Amino acid sequence: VAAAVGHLSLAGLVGGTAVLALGAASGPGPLSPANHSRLPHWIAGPLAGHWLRVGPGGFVALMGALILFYAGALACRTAVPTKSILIAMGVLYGTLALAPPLLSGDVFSYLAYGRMGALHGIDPYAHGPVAIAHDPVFAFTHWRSTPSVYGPVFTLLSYAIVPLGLTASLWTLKTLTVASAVALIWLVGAAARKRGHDPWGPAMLVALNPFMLVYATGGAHNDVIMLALALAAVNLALAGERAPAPAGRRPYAAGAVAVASAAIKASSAVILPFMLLGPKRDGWQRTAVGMAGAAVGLAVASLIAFGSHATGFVDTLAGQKDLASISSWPVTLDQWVGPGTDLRTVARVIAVVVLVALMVQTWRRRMDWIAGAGWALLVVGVTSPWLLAWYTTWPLPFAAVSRDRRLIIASLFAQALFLAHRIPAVAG
Amino acid sequence: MKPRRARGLLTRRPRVIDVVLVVVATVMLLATVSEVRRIYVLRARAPQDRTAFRAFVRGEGRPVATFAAPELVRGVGGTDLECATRRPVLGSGWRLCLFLRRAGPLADRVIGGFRRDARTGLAPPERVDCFGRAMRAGLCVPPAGPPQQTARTPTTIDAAVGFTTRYAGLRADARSRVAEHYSAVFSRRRSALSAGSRTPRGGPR
Repeated sequence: VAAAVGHLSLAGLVGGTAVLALGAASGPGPLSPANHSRLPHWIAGPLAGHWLRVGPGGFVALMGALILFYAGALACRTAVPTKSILIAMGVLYGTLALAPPLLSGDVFSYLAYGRMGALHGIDPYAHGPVAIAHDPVFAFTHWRSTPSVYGPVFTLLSYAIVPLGLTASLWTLKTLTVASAVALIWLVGAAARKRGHDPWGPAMLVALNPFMLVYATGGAHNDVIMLALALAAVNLALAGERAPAPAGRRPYAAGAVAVASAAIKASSAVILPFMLLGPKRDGWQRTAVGMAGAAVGLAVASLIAFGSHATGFVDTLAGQKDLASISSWPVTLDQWVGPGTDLRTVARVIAVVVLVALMVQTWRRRMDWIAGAGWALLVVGVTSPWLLAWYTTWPLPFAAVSRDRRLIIASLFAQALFLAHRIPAVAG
Repeated sequence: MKPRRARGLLTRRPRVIDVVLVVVATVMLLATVSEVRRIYVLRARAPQDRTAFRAFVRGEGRPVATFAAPELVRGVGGTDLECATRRPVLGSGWRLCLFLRRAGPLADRVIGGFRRDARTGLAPPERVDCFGRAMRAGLCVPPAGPPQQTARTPTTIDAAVGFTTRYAGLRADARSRVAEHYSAVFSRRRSALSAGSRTPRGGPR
């Protein structure tokens, strides 16, 4: 029975994701929201031209079904052959590679920032996409007057793909995201194995997660690239942790790769202190040197590429502290309690206190450093007044590797609450 | 360091951290259920509020088409705050926001209102078109510099509507400021799936 349920769940995940991908490719709509009036073929991609339409209510129903299938697959994972799991993962991520960007137009902002710098000579850290209103990508961007909030590694990467042309750039970014997701899954399994655990459970926890599939990978968000680099750093740190002293160059590389992850998107900077506090205490200096070296190298590269605007993304991020999304925990509580108290400030204070407590616990060896990093990412996400679906995937790889059940439950709970928030907005 | 082995959460004595996590989860669950319920309740009143808004606009001698479709922003202390952007400058002009009673003849439901910049939901509303409840609650403050226009004289509607206490007004003020801030988020059904990724003051994240 367990094998049958496991196979059925995997088939359900594949089928549900395929329906969402086909629905998104069938025309403009909430699944393909970049432009509300048109979905050109260069965006719709190879799945274009299907009759299948998925409305808002259908989307919520499908997400609900995917969550059930996810639970079923995880519960019955030991009864399902590895081959079946691998095939399901391959079909899932292959389908997402062929689908148009799902549920978000952010990938077009990535393209716009790249084209601003590489094609039009406009610094994306100083201006928003409105500066290239004549560019064909502009019609699909949403954050038109906002300069880039992404780190220099990602911005330079987006510059590098511009010569391919707009269509190839889009699909290169999508392919890169899917490749990063596959790498992330492999790295989660590898880290679990380094810890002496079965790699398949943690890998499935991340790979089959509906938010990781539909929002993060389907939406081609750079969060996936950020997480893949972060888990690469975790693997290097674990390898150094297990090696006899001295641990060789791995701690240097771990520090450098962790900084590179934060230079894709600043959110992962929160894991840096845990990398210093957690693994072998005598190796932290090497990790710190790796971090410092990478930071200096990136600073020089950024100054050369972006001049005086090199830290522009930090200023833009700081200027967005008043953003509010309806799914965020502080905003939800604000609505519940009433606006008399400023719960957003309270949430920021709580975040700082919890982060310090996590670091202290990690330093005192009362908490696994990987779990600490995962909790830190979760706290940063849920105390922010601006919570998006793909942010809820940040702690998941760390929860999977650390096998911290509280963290796993808390991460999935945050995702469930997020979906509950969307019900009235999308299901009518 | 050897990682601590995970043990069943239900098979051992709960620790303080478990209790804290359960409390946080319960509070968030209740808040989310309350929020979802509030949105549905608000939606049920939306059609009547829209009609009352349009009746008010007609009563002021302006064509209904002057404004885009009114949006119910939220309930504010026994009233509903309904706002609409003035045409033809959608997204860049100003919004008229009205406080509406939830019962009674449609023509008498408006008990106050104000105008505010449609581009900057957080900016203070201008004194122009400020009347009734909004004015009494001190909701309408002049823009930077000396005010160029004075507050509109309260209408007969205002005179007919009594206000309970100053506290209620202040509460409405605070509530509606928050409501304005969230209005952009609540009004974007199409971007709802992507979690409000079109809020104009932000950026892709």
